[in-house]
Amino acid sequence: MGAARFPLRAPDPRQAGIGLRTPHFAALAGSRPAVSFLEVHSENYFADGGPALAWLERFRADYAVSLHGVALSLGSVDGLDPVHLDRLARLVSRIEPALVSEHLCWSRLGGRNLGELLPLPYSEESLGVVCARVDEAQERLGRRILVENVSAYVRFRESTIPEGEFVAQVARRTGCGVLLDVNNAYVNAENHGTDARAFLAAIEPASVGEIHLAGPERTGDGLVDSHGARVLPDVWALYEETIARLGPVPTLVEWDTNIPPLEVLVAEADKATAVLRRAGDRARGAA
Amino acid sequence: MSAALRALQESFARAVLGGDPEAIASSIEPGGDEGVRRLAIYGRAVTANLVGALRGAHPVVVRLVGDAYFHEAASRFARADPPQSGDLNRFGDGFAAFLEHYPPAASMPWLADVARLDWACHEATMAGDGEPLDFDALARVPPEAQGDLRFAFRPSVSVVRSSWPILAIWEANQSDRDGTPDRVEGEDTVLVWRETGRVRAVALAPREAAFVEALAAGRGLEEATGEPDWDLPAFLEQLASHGVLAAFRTEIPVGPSPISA
Amino acid sequence: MNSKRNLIRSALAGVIALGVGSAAAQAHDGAAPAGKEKCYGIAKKGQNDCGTATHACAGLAKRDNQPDEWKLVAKGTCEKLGGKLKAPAAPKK
Repeated sequence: MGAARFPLRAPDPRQAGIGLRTPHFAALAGSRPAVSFLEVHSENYFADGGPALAWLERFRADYAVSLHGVALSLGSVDGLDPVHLDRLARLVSRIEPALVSEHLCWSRLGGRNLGELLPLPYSEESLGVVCARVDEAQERLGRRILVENVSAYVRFRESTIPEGEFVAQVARRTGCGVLLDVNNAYVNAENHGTDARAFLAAIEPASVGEIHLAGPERTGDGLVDSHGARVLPDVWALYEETIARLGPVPTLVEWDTNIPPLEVLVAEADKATAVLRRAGDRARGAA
Repeated sequence: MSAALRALQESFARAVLGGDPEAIASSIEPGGDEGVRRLAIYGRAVTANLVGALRGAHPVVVRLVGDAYFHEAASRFARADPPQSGDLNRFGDGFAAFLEHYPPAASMPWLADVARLDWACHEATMAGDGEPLDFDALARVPPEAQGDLRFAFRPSVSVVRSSWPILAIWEANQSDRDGTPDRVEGEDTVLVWRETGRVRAVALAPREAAFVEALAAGRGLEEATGEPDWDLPAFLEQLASHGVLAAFRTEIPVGPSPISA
Repeated sequence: MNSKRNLIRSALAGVIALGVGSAAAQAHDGAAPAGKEKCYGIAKKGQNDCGTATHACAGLAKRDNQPDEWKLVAKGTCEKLGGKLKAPAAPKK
């Protein structure tokens, strides 16, 4: 194990973080807003060198960083792509992130990657596949990862386990943490007529290592998880309830399409910070 | 052990890549037309993501042909030959070759070479730094070994050869230009590399191109130079000062550094 | 042969002279994203961002594409380029 290159930084659970995207690089470097961490899509920094990595290393000197993968494909029947896992491991040792996460989904099949978070049936078979992949990833990276519940537009008749129970089981069996996406829980409940609160209640509080918030888009075919708008009022309500149950948890606001000026994103994160502070104050008041 | 899941994923992939929802339709909810419409969200997302990746890697091609044309060509390529890596920054290696044989592009025989130049620039942004040229070590190479020096290039360096004026086209389609090339003739051989974070592209004269390609093929300095009737000193100095050259090796050992000795 | 040796010697002398006092100048060619430069490559968008939101892109993607004929006709700069570009006089290999 080499010497650390960066100061040890962990997200302050009483202050939200933001998703870091290219259009905000210059503004972020100039204004250094008070956010508790920056989250990036790991794959965007898989390069051997170059400006993207240089930017991230520069930001890492000032902020805690979370590496959030989109394409490891934990639900692949073919197993993990060893090259992908190696590149992730290399990035983890370069950046020394506070958090490393991935999605409960699949994208890789027969040596091809479809570049999308595709849904899994929630069955014993899927559970076996996902847990084996999470074990492999955690072993290769030498650390705990968080896994995120995804938005889905279809459900499978093969599913035999409620989604919340499935996510909780993955955490229980592998020791990984949960990245609880409250917006995805809401999107799925709206799209499938299920109960977001039942989903959230199935997740063990101690397993939750991070929370995601984002704004979806309403279409004729249901809610689409576009990460392209402000967080919905209903999702704020679910988030408040969740924080009341879990206590303060590092929270991230994601914005990937129709990306607004940095101030708008930071203002959205500040709303989450206000919720986290209230919960923290309540906890201290009760103690 | 996961045969049912494999079959389901194969059916799902056929629906999103091939637009054929039949095999997966009986497995999903909601059923009927609503389910098919929900599946189409995934189909459009996959296409949009893959086309988006190709778009990001080929900005000049996009500007040359326009959005609708690019989307059509790129989605055909992507659905026929989806990425092998989950990192979409690596997707697009074969797109230039696809354009070369894409019938609607037959009237633009230069388009595939422009795509190659776009791709070389894209790859240059992601290449490693490599070893910088060690000037002190170079100074210690004895004169008799100089002709046998073998230079390596930085990992970002590549050469794109074309029968068309692709550099003029490429330069004219950068964001601050209106698309009108400075010249409409030429057979450009373009040197691409990254320098202090920025990708650069310059046209090489025929002797320069032959020299660079000979070095890239591992030839020694003397052999690569060819006839001594051109300005090698000026060109080599350019390559060195712009960070194109990296490490070198020679068959004769270089003497120890006076500092470390 | 001598003129070639001399040419190489003088080329290397020029390169070595460059290194005097600036040996480390080009050590990290990926590491200078200072200021607000918009040059190609300095802040190139990562292609995996849509990957997550993916769904995002789903929302943005228009309704499915019939293979319309007009999508096979290049617009953009090609219109002014097409007829003007000249093929080389003698086709290469």
